[in-house]
Amino acid sequence: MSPGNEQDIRQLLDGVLDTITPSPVPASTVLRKGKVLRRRRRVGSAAGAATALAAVAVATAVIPGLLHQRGHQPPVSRQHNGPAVTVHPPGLHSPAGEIAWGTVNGQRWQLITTKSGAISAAGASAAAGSVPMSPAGPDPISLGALGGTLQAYYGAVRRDVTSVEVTLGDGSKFRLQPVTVFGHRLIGFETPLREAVGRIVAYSGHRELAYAIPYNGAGVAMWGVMLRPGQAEPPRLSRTIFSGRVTGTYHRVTVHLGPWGRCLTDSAGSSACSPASPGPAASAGVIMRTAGPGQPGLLIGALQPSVKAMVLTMAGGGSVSVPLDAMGSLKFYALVIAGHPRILSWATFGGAGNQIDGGQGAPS
Amino acid sequence: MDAAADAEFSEFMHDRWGQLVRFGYGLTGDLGLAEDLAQTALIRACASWPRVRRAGDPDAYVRRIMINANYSRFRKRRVHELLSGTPPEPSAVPAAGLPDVRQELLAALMRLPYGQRAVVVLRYWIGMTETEVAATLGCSVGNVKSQASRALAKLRAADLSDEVSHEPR
Repeated sequence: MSPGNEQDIRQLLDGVLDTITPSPVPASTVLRKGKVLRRRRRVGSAAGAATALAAVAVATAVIPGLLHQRGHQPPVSRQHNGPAVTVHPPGLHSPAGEIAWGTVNGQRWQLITTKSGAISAAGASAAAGSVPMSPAGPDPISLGALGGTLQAYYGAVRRDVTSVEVTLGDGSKFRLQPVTVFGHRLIGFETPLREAVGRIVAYSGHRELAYAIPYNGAGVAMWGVMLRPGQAEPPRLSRTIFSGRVTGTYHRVTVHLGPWGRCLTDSAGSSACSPASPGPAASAGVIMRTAGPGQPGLLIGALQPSVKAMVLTMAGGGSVSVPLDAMGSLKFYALVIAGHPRILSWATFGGAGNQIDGGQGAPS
Repeated sequence: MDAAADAEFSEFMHDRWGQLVRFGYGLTGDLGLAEDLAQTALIRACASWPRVRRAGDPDAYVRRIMINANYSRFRKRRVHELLSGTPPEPSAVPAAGLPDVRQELLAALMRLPYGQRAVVVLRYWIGMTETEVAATLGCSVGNVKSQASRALAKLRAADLSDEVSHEPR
């Protein structure tokens, strides 16, 4: 193909540049260095003004020796370059249920849970949720997140986890010691809102058990799977599989595959991650829906690569072939469920035309 | 900068990061450099955010910084190539995973002189008009037209797929 016209160039450039998956936003680095630069500029302009004043003063001999006083001025405070986040385990006088406390850029935070698993992110961020009391699946850590004025992360760790190292997007690190609260092994920390989390590593003593590289594109660190030490990172791929208005709401649904597993982000607000492995072949593989079964809305599914076609039978006798979008080892589809015409049934087929699965109504 | 401006800049930064890195990649062909350029531009925008906001088009401001920073990189370092006994680490972006024609385009784009490359990316990827490109690059519209024309001609001439598909005649 020759890039013979401008349209070709546009398409090819889209194809090249849209495949790029940037690293997490280095938010804290940008903000910290931006503020340092701003301060330097102010100091520079203030120094210029002071010099001009001094020149006037010397010239008029009104305040002799003014320049010598500069030596007695206190030094300019240096920008703190270490991590802006501190984390501490509960102390002797900590309240019951405290998981951890610390500071974010000088603001104090505190994470407290109850016997029933309710959690409150007291202090700088006022938010509440519930904490998982044990890790789900084979991974040694399960984390939940709460957004307030700060971003709170909290969760459960396996019994063999003795420490957890967290690396933020700017490279700063801190280490968490799991605490036993109401019989559960828990960790917690808070970061500036929308700060990227680069990596979370679970250790048993000095032995690394597993590590997670979260997806940060939705403004909060998420992952669907942790990797084992030495396991190669899966390639990063992002693709928008649906954009449009459904029942009055605009949705732009993007799939992000990578070391975090499979993350789905929807411009309407929801996002979720799960392992990238497909579900069973005999399944409609629904991974996201904006309405309940049978209700008009958007439905996203992920199918095994062996599925070659998905066909819907519509009320009135017609059938519709659902476009499948291959990405990594999965095939995704997006389906807008409208009230009319009604979907009577669905079926998936293999390469030889054999039916793999099917069901009545819309896929569910 | 007050808290509202801080929050506004933070939102701008998170919204634009991906696009800026892709723009930087179009300029440099290297993901690491692209992220450096985007970060440098955002740091400078952060330092002057009230002024940038008043100017009315923060995207143009940030892109201009990236273009100038990349020019400076060329000027300061003259981009030395050091011979090494070991091959460099592969790029974080699996360019090899791209279809052939896209790899060819990327390679051809990187062979263009820097000014022509910037025009191609601004004009054909960002979708700017010739006037907007001229304003961003600080040159005349005529200059943009001639740069674009030369760049397109070189990209057409770099049709590698013809070379690899040569058959005995």
